Amino acid sequence: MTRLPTDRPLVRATAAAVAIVVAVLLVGQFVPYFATTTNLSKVLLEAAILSVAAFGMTLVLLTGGIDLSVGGVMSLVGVVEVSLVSSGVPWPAAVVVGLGIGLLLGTVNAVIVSRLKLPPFIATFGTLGIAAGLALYIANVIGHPVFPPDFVSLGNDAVLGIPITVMLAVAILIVLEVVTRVTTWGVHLRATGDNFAVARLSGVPVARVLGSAYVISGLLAATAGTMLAARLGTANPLQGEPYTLLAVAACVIGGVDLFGGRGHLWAAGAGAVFLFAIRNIMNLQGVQPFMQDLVIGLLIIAAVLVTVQGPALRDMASDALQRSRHRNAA
Amino acid sequence: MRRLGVSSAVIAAAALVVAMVPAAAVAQDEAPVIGLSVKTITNDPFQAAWVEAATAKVEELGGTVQLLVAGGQTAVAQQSSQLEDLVTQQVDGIIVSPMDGSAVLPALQKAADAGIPVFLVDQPIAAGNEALYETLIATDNVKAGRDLATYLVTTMNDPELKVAIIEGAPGSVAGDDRLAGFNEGLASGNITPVASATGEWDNAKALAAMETILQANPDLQAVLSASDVMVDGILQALAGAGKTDVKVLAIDGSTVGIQGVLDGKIMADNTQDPMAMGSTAAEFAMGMAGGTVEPGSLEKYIDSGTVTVTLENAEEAMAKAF
Repeated sequence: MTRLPTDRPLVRATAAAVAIVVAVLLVGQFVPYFATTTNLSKVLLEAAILSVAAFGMTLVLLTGGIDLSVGGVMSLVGVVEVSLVSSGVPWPAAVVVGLGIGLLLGTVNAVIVSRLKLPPFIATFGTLGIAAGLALYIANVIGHPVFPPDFVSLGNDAVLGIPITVMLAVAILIVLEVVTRVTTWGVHLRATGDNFAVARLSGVPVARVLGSAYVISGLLAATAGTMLAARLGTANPLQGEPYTLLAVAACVIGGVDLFGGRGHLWAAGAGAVFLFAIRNIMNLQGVQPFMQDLVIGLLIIAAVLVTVQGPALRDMASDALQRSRHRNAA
Repeated sequence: MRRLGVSSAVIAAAALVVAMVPAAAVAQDEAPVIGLSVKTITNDPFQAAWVEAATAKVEELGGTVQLLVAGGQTAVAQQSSQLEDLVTQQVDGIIVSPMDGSAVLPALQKAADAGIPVFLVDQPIAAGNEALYETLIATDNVKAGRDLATYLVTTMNDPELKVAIIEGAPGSVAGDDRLAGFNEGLASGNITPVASATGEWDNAKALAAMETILQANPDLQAVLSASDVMVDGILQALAGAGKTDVKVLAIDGSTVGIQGVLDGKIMADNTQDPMAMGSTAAEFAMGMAGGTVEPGSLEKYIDSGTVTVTLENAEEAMAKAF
């Protein structure tokens, strides 16, 4: 039987899509209101915000690093944008400034990691403190302004049934996928993540590539922070806090290797959708938060086990199976 | 890629298992379901008290409760998300204590669009949004802050009094109102606080804030805390710095607070009545679900009262403490 190489990705994609639809319908049988368009649309809308942050986290994880400053940047950008808007700046300009702040903080991370050679955990932990602290400071000064309704609608409304946040996340994903596959930089990024030493020996400018991942992560965190601010209509200085670990969780559930080199951007997006779907199901079933955190924690462990230890576990299982077959045959 | 397939299969299976966990009884058609949305009930006796009172009253009147807890003192986005999930389930009424008076507005708009009546307890939402709720049952937090600060000023009778304030979480209207009340009360004695920092409604954060303030103000004489939930952290910081003569005053009237007054660790505590808040809100919610209370007929604000508790009236306050 000849297998046409072009069919396989398409077949796999279609199979995945069918599996998702089936899963949604099945869950919808047990959980009232889950499989309605309003509810699914809401889940995707929220997941889109996390996935943008998760895309940035994926790029950083691919280089073997981590970006803990995501949540702080998200909060800070929201606070800066709302304070500009409340002093009369039109929101598009405020958003540009906000994105600039993300770029700036991302660059700080990049310099500390690639030039000063500090471990990413520590470097980004420091930036997290700076960003989160600045957010609290500014919020203390400005009180509680809110965003204008046309900005808020970007974070809550849909066009032709698709939430605007989802369209934005998908657009960002497409751009990132294209850039990381087509451009030299993208190829270098994957090479650096795959095997740092080999990449460097092959002449890849690893320091610059490493740094660029953090710069982009900062920009994407700022984008996610803007989307979150639009969604909530306000900028609470702590509203981004949970998103750092959520972004890591989304990446892990999506199969991104925490130790670098392996992972897909779209998979991180799928991980984000998954997290929000599980939360939504548990909310609809009235599951208590302690249980919710427990379930998500177990899911993350299961995901890591399967994706990282998966091949080892499979070998163990097949060894055991072979041994039992030999015993039965004897 | 196969790795991804296996992991997604595992996760899909897990999702199905989770979905089949029958947690709270979801609506039978006859019994009205009232949704409760709160930030957390762990380590927060105030929130736990109104939730318990509301649940008891709803069940007493023949309904069931769908309780969604956001899981933290600052889980703002999660509360918004949970409010929307309550709307999705078409509950017959929502009782909510909003963490951030602005962040919940889009979600409450969805509730209004779906025709689900909303009852606020403890914390208001941003002004100008009266159409989004039926009534707010809360302490007059400005008055509570003012009464407490005025008590401090008149008792100490010291024009150079050095007072610090430990505030609530940012975005909390109750926290802001109490702060405004503190400042008003202090101003009545011409006193300006030497420091004012957020404890984020959390003992650990309050401890850190208190320690920092003590570094800069070693001659501090009194601390006004926006809530009992931060008092343990504050007392720990004071003990750690050897400053056990600093007067601590707080708001809530919880058993922690009243016991502190009885033990002499807290100078005065202004009470709240979360049981009344929860119970009254539940009565109105069930009434509206059953058609005995007309939407739009309730007073927009119902004051649940506050009393300044000192050593004199602490014993009787303990009976009502939560």
